[in-house]
Amino acid sequence: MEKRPDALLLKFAGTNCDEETARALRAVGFEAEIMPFPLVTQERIEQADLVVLAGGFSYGDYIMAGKLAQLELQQKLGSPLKTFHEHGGFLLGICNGFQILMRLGLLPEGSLIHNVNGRFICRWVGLEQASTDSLYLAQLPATFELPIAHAEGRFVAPEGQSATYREQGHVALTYVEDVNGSEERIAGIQDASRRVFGLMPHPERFLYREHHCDPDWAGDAEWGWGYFFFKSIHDAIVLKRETTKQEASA
Amino acid sequence: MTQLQFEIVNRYAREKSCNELLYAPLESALRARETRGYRVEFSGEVSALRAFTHDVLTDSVSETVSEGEQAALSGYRFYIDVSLKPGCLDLEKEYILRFYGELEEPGFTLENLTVFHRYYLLGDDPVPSERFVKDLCNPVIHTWNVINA
Repeated sequence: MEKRPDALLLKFAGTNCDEETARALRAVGFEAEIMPFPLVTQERIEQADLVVLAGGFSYGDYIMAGKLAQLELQQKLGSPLKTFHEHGGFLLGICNGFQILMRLGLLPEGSLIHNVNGRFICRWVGLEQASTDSLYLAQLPATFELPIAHAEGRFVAPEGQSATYREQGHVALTYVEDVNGSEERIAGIQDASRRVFGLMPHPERFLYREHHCDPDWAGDAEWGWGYFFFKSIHDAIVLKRETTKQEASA
Repeated sequence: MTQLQFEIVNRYAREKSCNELLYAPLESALRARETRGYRVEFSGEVSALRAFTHDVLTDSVSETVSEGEQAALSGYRFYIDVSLKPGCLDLEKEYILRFYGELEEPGFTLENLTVFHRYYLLGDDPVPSERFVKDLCNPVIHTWNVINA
């Protein structure tokens, strides 16, 4: 039997969405392992198909959200992660994981700062796909909804860059309305390879249809949009594996 | 040993009503802004400390660093520097020290670090600082310093 795609979730002090994310990954067919950051090795990263930085408040959000985790990650595993990515690995950052990923330099340059209203925002938001080639959004409709919960989710980039990112297809996901002051209403960004993806909304919090805020939600009979988000990654990894295998045998 | 102070200003942060710092509102037109600061006692290369500050304590996209004792912002009536008392667990300081401790060749020796938050009250309204100190500072755990314009 074909080995299931392997997802490795890095857990920092303060990461608190790892269990829900692992559950969502397993539901779509991944083997998912949550590993405390100090135990993660280069060898373990090399085994993985997908490295996930889940949501939470790593290191208490001190200095600014994701900064200390990024420094630790950069110092200990910066080079292995870069190699992992160069060799075709997938990286996903959700909420605090997006903040870490953003500062790691694996996504187009930018930052996630305090929401424009200065407050923590916890609500459902409408989202729309802003690019047509996202591997992570392939099975989702053009517009859909997910919950957000963050204080530092306002995307900013060096002057004029956000519009350029949109033109270049780096902007994968935008808010339907301005919820936190993000430039270009950016909610999710992808790199040039499309294998690195970060987003502020929480797909793992809408795995089952019962998770929706509206009990009469007219979507799938069993699954929420989060399921289709993770299923998209799963299928992209399986497809990549098959393509690699075919190329090797040709 | 040398002492150097860095103030980090978020260039996207906007002035807000001073009442956002208070439990009960004042009838005042004073505006408020917050920055954060690091007072470092060190020996060794100043350039290495500056690089550490830029790389570790600052976000290059959204923040600027101001070095020295002078306030980074102008137009204030007063500002209040708030930090934790020595002996209180300051997790931000501990995480920074731990990261510093893991550096192989930092180029400087970090002797002491004080993390503080600076609250600027901007405008001309003659509002006494005591009201803000009362709501922003807890005398059990905080030390503070009020600097008038």
